[in-house]
Amino acid sequence: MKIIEVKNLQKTFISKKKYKGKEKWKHLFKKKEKIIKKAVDDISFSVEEGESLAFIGPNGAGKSTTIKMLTGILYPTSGEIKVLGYNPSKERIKLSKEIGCVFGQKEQLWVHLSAMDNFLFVGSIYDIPKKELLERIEELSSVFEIKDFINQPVKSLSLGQRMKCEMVASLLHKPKLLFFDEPTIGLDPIAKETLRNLVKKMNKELGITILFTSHDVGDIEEVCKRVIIINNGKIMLDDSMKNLKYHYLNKKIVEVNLKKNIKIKEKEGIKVLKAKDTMYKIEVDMNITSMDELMGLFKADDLQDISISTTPLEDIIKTIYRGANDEMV
Amino acid sequence: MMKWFNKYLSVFKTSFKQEKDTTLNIVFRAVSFLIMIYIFFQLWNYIYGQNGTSQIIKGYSLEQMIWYLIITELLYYTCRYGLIVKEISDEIKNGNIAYKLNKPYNYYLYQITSFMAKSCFSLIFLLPIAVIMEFGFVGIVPSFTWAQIFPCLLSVLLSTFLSWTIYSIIGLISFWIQDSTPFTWIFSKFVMLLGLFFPVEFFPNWLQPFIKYSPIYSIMSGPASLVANFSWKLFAQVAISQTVWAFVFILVGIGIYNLGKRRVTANGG
Amino acid sequence: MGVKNNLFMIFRYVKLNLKKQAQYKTSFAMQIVMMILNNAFFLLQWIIVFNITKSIGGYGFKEIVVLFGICAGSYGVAHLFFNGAYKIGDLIYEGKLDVYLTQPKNVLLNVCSSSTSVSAIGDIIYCFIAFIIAGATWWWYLAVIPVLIIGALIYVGVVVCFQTLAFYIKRGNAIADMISSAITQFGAYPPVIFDTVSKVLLYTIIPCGFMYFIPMEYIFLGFNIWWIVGMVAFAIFVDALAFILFKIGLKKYSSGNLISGRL
Repeated sequence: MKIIEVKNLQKTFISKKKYKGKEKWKHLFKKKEKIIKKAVDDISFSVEEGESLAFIGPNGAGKSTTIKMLTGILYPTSGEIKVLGYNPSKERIKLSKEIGCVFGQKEQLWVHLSAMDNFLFVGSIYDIPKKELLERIEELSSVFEIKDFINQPVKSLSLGQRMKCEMVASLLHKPKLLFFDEPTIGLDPIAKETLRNLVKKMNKELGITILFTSHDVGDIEEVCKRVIIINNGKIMLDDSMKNLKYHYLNKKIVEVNLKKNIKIKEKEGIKVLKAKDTMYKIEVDMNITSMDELMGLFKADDLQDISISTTPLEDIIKTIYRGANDEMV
Repeated sequence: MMKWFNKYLSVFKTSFKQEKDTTLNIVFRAVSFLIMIYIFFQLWNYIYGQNGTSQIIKGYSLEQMIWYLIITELLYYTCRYGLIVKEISDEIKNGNIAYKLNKPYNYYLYQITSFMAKSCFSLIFLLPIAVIMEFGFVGIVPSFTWAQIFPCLLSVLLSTFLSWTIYSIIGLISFWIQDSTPFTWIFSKFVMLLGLFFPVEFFPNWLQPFIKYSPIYSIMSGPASLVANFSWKLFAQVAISQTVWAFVFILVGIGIYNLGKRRVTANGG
Repeated sequence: MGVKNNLFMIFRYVKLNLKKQAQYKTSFAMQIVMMILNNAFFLLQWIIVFNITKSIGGYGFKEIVVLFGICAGSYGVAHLFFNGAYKIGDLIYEGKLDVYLTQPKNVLLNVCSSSTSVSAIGDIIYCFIAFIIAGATWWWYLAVIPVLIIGALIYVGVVVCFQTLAFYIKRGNAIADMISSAITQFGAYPPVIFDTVSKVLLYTIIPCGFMYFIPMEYIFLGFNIWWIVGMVAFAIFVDALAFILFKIGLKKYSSGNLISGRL
């Protein structure tokens, strides 16, 4: 079943040009020049139930704007959106009972009160009957292991504990779909790891569909199975994590240190990136050639040290962004 | 001495320039000022009208009463006293004051100068409004002479300056007490009741001398009565009491600041 | 069902907000006591006024006490239950409505009730103290409760209408603040003193007339059912208008990300 369907979605922001100094007075009574910015420029995609999808792109690429239109926060300029069968801008209230949102850096909990107080409050916002609510809190607090500190004020909890509470709060109304907008922004590596594990848990154990935005590639590599790369309001790539890795991670970097100074000849698929004395840095394209071919270029006896690595995903995504910018020019 | 003066002059100039960003706020404050005068005008118009027009109440005609109120409201709207008290007490509470202690200026005098600049900037907007209302809507009071403009303006500025010397001291109380808001509140209420709403003559006879010799008179009633009923004798009285009080409070302020300063270094470790 | 749930939400918000602030007991009590004193102080100026003249168009000291009691009381009710209404402009400008938009409640009601002012309790207490000072009969105590609620609903409605300007212009909230303070400025004076221009304002954009003067004249001092019906009708009108204007404005809402774009 398709949980999200987006067709030709567009969002433009109009702002007025600002003038400074003398210019300001000149334009005081004139109509100001309008600046039209296409934050989201004609994108279409769909999401199946149970998927975990990542939305990545640099700052200002349009990923948050897209998520905010999917959740009913922003009105689209044009295009069609169906989330769980609802039109977010027209059926916002119905939709909001079935989805959950976690926005990075914005505390959704009342820090001076206990987690329990917070959960009861969320219950009243979502009109959950008291008995059902208490059962749900009980259930989730054992899944996320928060029972020990559920009655302490949130401000006295560690960051990791707070995050767990935040997750429980966003799951109380049994959402089918969860949106995470830059949830790891500003977190230290350990907290990031905790959060990623929690999200994975939700997707795998509770079967909740996940939509995740971030500009941290690490988040996506670990959490999501499918990736949409967005830049300048357009979709650059929509593919599974596996394919992305297959197509872009097929280049291996081999670093060798040889005993003797032997000249390594370049072949199709084998490129010497750096050569210094007996040290070589070689790129091997696995789609064209194989490791055997490379090994054939020198004797195994001459080999003093070898290390093989893949291109980091970060670099790949940078290449994709850059490709987009080149097209623009 | 000249160097000293130049230093605070540049503090004044910088604060004044910075204040330009808040022009819109002042416009909104000016509207509130207008509304207040409008209400007072109607209230007193009604009270005077009830007992037959052109009568005198406690020595004030309707015109004089309104002139009085326009000036006290002007003084009130020129000093956003809550601001300085909050700024000083916040800086003391969050410890930022430590960074200002080692600067080559006196923090207390620095704050007064900086806030005086803010007041002067507000006056640029509020004073013309006040003058227009006095001449345009109410009419000239009998005692008016063109010669009174300069002394009246001087008295208004002295009153603002005196206000800041006092409110800054209230801010400095935060060295000892967590929250100095109640003190601001009490003092400003006394200023309102004993000066803003009524001239001294409206109070019971036994109370009048107390008000006259208090700094509240120098802040509110003094300059306002001067504008409503000018005489050089009154000017001399008001200006002298304003200057004397300002000196007293500056001395007290510097003293309190020097005492409080030690508490910062004690907490600083 | 919907009404009950929304009322439940409002009370839950008030309860949690008060619980949060009650952790600092001294400051909590201080805020309330200070507000009561603050309001009481206002009466002192009237003692001096009534030294000069016996009454102002039928309003003596007692009537002023009651009138200012109603003013403070409905200000208190508005700020206790709907303090968020006074912050809408800022929230719009800073793009902070997101959280409310993802919750299954009416956004306006949710935002308005999300914040609570502690000193508002002092205002409400003061209202009843004022009634005691004025020697009110049992019927006045009974009547004042709906009067305060309707007054608060009008107050909040007008403020929201002006706060929605923030969807379109940068400093929309400042205009709303101005209207809000004008309401408190005008409300504390006997209605007879005002001229025609003021009266037009007082029954339109600064509706002190509907909030304070009608209840004063036609509930506490005299009785006229049509004026009271008019007051209720105005409350319904202004609140409906607030909901409509907010809904229209929401389409212009640009969340947090446009702000970063502007900088």
